[in-house]
Amino acid sequence: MTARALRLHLRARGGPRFGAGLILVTVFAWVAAQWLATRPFFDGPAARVPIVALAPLLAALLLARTLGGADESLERVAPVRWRPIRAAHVGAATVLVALLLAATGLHDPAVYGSYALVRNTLGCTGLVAGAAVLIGARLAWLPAFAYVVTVYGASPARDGGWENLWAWPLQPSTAGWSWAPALAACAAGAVLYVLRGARG
Amino acid sequence: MTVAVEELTVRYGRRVVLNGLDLALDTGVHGLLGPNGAGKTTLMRVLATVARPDGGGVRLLGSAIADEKALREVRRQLGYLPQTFGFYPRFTVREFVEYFAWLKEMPAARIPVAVDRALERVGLLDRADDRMKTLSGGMQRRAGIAQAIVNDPRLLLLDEPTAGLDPEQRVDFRALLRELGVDACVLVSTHLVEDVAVACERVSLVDGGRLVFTGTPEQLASAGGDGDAGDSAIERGYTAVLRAARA
Repeated sequence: MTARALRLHLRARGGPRFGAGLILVTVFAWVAAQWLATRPFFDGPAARVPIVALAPLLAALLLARTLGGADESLERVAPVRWRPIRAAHVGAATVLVALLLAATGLHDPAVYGSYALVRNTLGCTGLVAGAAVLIGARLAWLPAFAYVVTVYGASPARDGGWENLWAWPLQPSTAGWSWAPALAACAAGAVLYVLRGARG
Repeated sequence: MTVAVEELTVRYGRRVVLNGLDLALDTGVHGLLGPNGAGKTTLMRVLATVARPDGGGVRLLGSAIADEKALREVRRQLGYLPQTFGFYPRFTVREFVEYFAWLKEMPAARIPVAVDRALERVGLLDRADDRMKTLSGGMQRRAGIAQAIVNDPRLLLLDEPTAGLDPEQRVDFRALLRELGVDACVLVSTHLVEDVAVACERVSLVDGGRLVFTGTPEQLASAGGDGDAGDSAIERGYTAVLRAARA
């Protein structure tokens, strides 16, 4: 792929909009997390739960629109090798989001900080990638959004039992089993997306 | 044969959209006619390798497309304009066509010349640096045609290409079709029978997912009589063939 082709592809997938949005989400995550963690009436870094849940979700929502072209059927009939391109796309975007968001939670990373942000980035990215295959890139944000909002509304941020599994976006990173569903969602969504691409 | 279709069957759920359709096309301009819901767009999507058949055989450019390698080889020689297509509003017209040239794996050194040539052929060279979102519907359609022909395809599939074109543009487009049909197999799906009469060497008529007529436009015109509905001989032939197929 030439540099010119790469630039065209990034623009075709809304790369500049994704980049600008990601910067805003990162700044928001850093400012809001700092503010919450330093309020005397909250319990320090543990007050960052909403940011740990919300920032990776917002980044994944931004990513969702980049997973498909303006016309999937037109792009799909092109002979270019899509699988390596999709793998690079979802892989690079996930790493970029994880690094940027992790940098916002470096102060006490283990207590709703960098580690939980990375876990939730992996999980949310996997959810939108899988959804793009099943319902298309335009609506791929919906299942991840519905899931995280439902979990946030229904579950206390408590460590233990089944909540580690189904409420993984709200668990502290030390809750070992909370990583399993996030990693599973990431792997399944990414593999499905690389193999099949977004639904047209 | 560039296109050889035998007993093609496509279903959407329980509905059979193409029902044992046979079709053979070679170099030249071919018209594909039929009423709404006849299966024209589904046939185009199968030939464009977007949709997979549920039954029957499809050979394109001499290949049965048995594996990924064969599929990519066929796609390199394919041009396709869907009935409606999503475009990239922030791209200029040149960037839009250039992007598809790259997706079609054209050699990088050939792309700039090929893009300019495609834009010139559809009459958009003077608008090459305008953004896609600033173009009229007809111009966007022509940009879509340009992306379809940028790789000089051996098989060109155009689904309703003249929708949104004004009469002058349609006359130019018919001339372009005739030019393209010298070296390539061009299949044009349309409702406009007058386009078929003027630009196509052969015409196929689909109804209810089956091929009900294939022949020259003159043969289609001669199938009609004074008692058949239509304002021209070919329209009367069209309605006569449909009526006979449904009888």
